[in-house]
Amino acid sequence: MSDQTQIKARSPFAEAFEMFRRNHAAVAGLVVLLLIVAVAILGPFLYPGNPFDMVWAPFTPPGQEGYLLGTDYLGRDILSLLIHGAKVSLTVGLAAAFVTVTIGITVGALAGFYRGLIEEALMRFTEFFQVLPTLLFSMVIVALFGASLTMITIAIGLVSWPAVARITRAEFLRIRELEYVTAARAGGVRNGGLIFKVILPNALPPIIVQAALMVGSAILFEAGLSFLGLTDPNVASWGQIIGSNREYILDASYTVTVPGVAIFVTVLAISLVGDGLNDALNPKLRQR
Amino acid sequence: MTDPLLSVENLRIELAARSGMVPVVDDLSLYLNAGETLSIVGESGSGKSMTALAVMGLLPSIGQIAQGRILFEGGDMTQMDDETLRTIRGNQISMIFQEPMTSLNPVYTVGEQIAEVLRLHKGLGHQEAWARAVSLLDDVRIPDAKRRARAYPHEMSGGQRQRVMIAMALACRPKILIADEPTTALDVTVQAEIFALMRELSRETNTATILITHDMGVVAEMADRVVVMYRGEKVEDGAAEAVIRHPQHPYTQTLIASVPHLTIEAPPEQEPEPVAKSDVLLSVRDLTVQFPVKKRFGKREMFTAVNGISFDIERGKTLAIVGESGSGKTTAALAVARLVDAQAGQVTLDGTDMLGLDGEALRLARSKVQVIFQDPYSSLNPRLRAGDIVREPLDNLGAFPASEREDRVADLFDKVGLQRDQMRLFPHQFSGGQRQRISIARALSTNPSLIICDEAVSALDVVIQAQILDLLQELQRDLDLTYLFISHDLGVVQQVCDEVAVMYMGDIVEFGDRQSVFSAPKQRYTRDLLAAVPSIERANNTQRERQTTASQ
Repeated sequence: MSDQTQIKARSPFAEAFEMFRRNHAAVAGLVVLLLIVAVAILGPFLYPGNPFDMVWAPFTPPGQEGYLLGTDYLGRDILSLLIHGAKVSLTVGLAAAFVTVTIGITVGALAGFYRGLIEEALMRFTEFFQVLPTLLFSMVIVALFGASLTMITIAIGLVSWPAVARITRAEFLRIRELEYVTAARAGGVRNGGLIFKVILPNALPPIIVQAALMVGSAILFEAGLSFLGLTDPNVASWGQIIGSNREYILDASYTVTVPGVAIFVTVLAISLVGDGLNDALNPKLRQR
Repeated sequence: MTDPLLSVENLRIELAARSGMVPVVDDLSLYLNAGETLSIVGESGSGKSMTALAVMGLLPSIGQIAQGRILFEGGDMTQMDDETLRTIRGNQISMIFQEPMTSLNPVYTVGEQIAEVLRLHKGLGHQEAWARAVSLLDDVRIPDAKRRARAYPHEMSGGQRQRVMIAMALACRPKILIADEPTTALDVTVQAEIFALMRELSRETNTATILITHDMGVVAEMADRVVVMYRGEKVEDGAAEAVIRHPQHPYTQTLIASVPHLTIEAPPEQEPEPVAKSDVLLSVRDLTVQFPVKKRFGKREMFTAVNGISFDIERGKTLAIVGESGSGKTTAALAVARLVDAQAGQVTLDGTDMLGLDGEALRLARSKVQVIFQDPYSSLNPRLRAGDIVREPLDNLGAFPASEREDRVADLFDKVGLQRDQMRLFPHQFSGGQRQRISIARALSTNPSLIICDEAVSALDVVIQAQILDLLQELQRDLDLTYLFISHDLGVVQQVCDEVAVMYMGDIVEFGDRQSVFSAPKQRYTRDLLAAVPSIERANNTQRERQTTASQ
């Protein structure tokens, strides 16, 4: 008995962190991601100035005249655009994922917990959003309400939440039948407490994974919309750089390649982290 | 003496763990002669299933045989290549698993699955294999085998599925049949049928059987010889009867002493007068619970799980509801606690009309009735610390002033035999028995007048089971608790209850005090149920008979 008292209290999340740490690809992804976040936050201070200023002749190839990544068709410094754009792209990604998760969890949790008519209504509502062509729908929103970053974020969130809602509902349906939920009900926990304090924390792992991957797909989505010109022309984002230079893709391919690589690396890093989270939070894999 | 059919010599099995290779079976030797039944007994984690898997060559990928030999008809199976092993596995040695629900493939008919084994191992043609599959199903006493061979697994009951598994295992006329807890997932009457079938078949076909179990009663009824395992090592072996009668090793003694065996009770001296009960705590009248089963054109069909049952429990007493799966016993108990909605009837607990309550009044009334659940793994919230789990009802129901709750939880940990500093740990850091103690502490926290034990000890090993039952009885004496005890295990029930209600298909078919129900059951169903329980004493008698007839 004496050595049992030595056991440290290890929460399920502490064990998950331990698992995550042993996944090298995920850790590498996290390091890259943290670097990009650092650039997004510190970049504008290290590399001040308006990225939209014309600094040199257009189409200066990378490395020449002191411009590491060259200049675009308006003679703007691509490195500056990239650094300032990082913040925008990441913010849009995070904010859109936040909108997605908020709507998704609310709808999914209510549908999964209450069942019956509420579930029917909410799930039909979810399906309605699921069958809309996502790109067209978001284009309509942006076209109608203006191409501000807020609107783009909301548009992305509005078209992506059904996946989260379905996952949340499935988890709620499974967990609500477990004995500890019945036990909590017998212990006088109110419905609100059951949803948010008992079931939701246990339903979170797959939702967290989905949310992480959602950040990546939101960045891609924003890039897609920007490429089509549906973006705030006064704000530099990676998609916007590609979009504005797309006509010169053959003559000055670096103007679209450089921001493209930035998007690729970021989304890849996020995917690796999401994958690592998935392994770490999945108790079946933890046995290995 | 001829060589044994199978012999295991100094077997050591190791599993890969975080800290390196951990032995799960160490220095195990055993042998099996043709036609006999050897039982390997032990609690979960004792290495008995690993031994079986090793003999089948089916160890999980993280496991390996570190040492020792497994000789089958003189050949060492640990040295054989996969190809040779495949000709033995399923052909000469076959296995029945514990869970008949998951060990059959749901997308093929049972006939096809048996026929496939025959085609694979015996090279039979399609029609031949099918005909043989049908006759095998007939052998395992599946009624109307010709038609039932075309049934899918989900169209059969648990017992029938296990019969199909046995038919499949016997398809190639194996020399050895390994049965790993083949009846644990089944009801006791079905278990008795399956065992009878296995006994008959092994006599008819002279198949040797290795029966893995944790139940000494099963050993007594089935086995010729027994090997007792504890923490990966063999602690005792010998003829089943001798080991059960005169266990040498302390662990075997504990194991036998812990088996909640049915004792033969003297019949009551006189028919007890139905006296009016003095201090009724819980009174249930015409309780009916229905579930919607399917919707057809918006019309709901209802399945009646509990069909107008009535009973009373006196304060400080224990009423047991026994019955097989699907009898409605758990549903009835959960309806009393208002965790399942009842359609009709009346439940009066300590003067409160429970079914009439709703909303906040119902929530607060929950402090009067608490539940101890069956599964120690799913009944505790994995994200909460043990102390917070016990505290949850206190905080939500406002029992005890906030300043005293901390002490109350610590006090409860003492009461159920846990250490106070274990309050900070999370559920997965406890063993099954310890988790059940947490569950008990939680149920006690609000000082409820009624505690429902829903199969509270069914998922535990016998030794742990005995400890938890002792704890429950001790708490009942100290705290004057009233239990509604739900169980399918008559041995357990006999140990704890004052009165028994036997449920069958939603009805209470027999009700009475313990003595009269166990000694003189009035209903046929109760008698069948009692007869089906594997019992050490009864088995000893029949074994002696078997031996005397054999020697004559």
